[in-house]
Amino acid sequence: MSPTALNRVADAMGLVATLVVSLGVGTLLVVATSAEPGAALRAFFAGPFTNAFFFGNMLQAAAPLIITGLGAVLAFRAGAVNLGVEGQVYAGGLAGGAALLLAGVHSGWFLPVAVLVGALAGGALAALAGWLRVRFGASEAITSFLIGATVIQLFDLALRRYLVDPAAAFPATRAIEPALRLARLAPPSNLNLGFFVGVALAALVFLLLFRTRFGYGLRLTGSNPSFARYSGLRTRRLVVWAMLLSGAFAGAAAVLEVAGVHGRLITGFSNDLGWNGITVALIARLHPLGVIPAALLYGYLQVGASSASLLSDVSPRVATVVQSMIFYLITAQALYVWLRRRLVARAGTPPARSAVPTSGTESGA
Amino acid sequence: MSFVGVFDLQYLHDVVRLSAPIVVVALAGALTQRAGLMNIGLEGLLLFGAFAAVLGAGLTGSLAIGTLAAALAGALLALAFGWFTLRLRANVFIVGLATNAFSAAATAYAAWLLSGQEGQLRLEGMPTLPRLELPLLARFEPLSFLSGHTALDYLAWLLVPVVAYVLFRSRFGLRLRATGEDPAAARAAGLRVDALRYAAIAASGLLAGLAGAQLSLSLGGFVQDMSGGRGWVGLVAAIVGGATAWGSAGVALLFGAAQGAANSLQLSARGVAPQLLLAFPYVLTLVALVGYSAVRSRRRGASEE
Repeated sequence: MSPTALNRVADAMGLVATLVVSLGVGTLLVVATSAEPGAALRAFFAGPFTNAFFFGNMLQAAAPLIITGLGAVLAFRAGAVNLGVEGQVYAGGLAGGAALLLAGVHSGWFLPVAVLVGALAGGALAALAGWLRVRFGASEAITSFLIGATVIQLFDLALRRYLVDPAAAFPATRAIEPALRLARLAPPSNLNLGFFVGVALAALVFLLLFRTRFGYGLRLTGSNPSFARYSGLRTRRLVVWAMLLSGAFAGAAAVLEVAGVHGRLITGFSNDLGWNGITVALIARLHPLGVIPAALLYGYLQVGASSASLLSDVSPRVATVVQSMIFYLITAQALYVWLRRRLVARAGTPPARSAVPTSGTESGA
Repeated sequence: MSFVGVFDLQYLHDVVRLSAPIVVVALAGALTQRAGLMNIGLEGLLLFGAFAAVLGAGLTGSLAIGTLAAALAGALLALAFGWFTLRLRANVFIVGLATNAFSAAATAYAAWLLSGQEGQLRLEGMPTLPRLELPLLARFEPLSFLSGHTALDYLAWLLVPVVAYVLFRSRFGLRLRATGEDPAAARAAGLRVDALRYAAIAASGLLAGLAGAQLSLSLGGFVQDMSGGRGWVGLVAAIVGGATAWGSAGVALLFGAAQGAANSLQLSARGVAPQLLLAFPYVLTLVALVGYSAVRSRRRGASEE
């Protein structure tokens, strides 16, 4: 086997191990807490495939995660740790959602404009964190989180104080008019054009990263910053651009979610789209095309849990516990290194470096 | 009438109370920072401790056991954090994030399982931390704000000199700092780098757990996401405070003072939105971190690039 093939096999084995452990924990939780564990497990694991409603929802649950995941890939590939994706989702949702509600445009061409508005809002926030790093050396991991946490509160404030529909049963705006929404492709499920937008964007990011000079520079900045700098790349600018794109994807995902699924702005609409996007990117080993199956896995877990809570007596929270387990285990770089070494010992070829530039134990501000 | 107004004493009392958990988290952050690891998981460790405290105190009726449970739970989760970072060589930021995600998910799920209610856990017969009056200070009005706090609040301030001693006067501290400065050199000098780092991580988890106990045991229950960003605030306090015990505690005190001011503004001026109050600690720590980084990068000057 070639070193690349070895890496792929080791990655696949590590992923399978991660999934077995996490889903095992999920199974244990269901069995331990359910009065009818057999039915609950069937609803959890088979539910997403039993009817068109759950299946469509699974695809749609993956859609925004593909896009936020791609955003996380772009930042991490450039060596920028964007932990503000959740906040960038809210910023995009607020800007794009407000545009859809308040601009007074009544035809469908305005929807892409609103998506762009949301992307700009999310991108601006992320770029700010990137700029604070290259200008002042402030850790973008911390600043992006702090900016995001602030914006989440401001979103709630704007929604409750200025945009809320007093007639709504919970804090939400009035409905966005149908012309400005994404049509449902397989009612009653939520599936809409957003899923295909996500798939197309994944292909686009793949081309950007692996077929353009910009993408090459971005990856070089992430994997070997000093080499990139000495070879004449403007690494500071590239980091800010990567953050900007990263936030823009988060913002765009938010507008598609608002226009496609909720049909209006509601409190907590993101439901961890940003955080889960980061995990999805890591499961995909930061590969843009890998983001699609990783997001589908998340969609599967989410819909499985909601099917189990609808058809049986399980809390949908099981999904968040399983997801956080996956998040934890997926970080274990050494697991993959170890698996690769085992494979190498068997095949007798030298090991290659991992494709994922996230290793090490950095500190400092 | 004393020379310090009633309102001011109340305010100062609030500041001592509000900054106590931040001080403890900041000390936790200083320990891992000195080990050369940026511990983003403090928020999750604190939340985990808060939950364990309610469980321990609720099941046994003993505040001491609740506190112990919190410290132990924090240390255990921190060791998992350490194992992933040091042994499994996972990215330290991502493991920190995973720690926060796991803690939030696991505590919310367990609270739901135990109480059947969304997002909170109150156990019957669970005691709350009593406020203790200090014998002399309580009656000496200018300083009476120092009295009337819980035992864990007092402990928070007593821990500052302890951590200062451990970091800068003990052999362990010397070795830990050497490890954080230059792990390769420390290893070459024969230090057991990983053991030192594990110890620092466990201690930081223990402290973060204690901070969680402070919150939940004085409230008398667990509320989902009750950490409210204190882990992040404490981490930034440790960075801005130069990862020394007194520096970190000092910055934590400033954060507490600002939070107290924001709280009393909220009480006096109607119409300050609660969301702004919730956002305040994040904005404050952001400004502090950027300001600190700017000053430091200017001091380092052009030598960097």
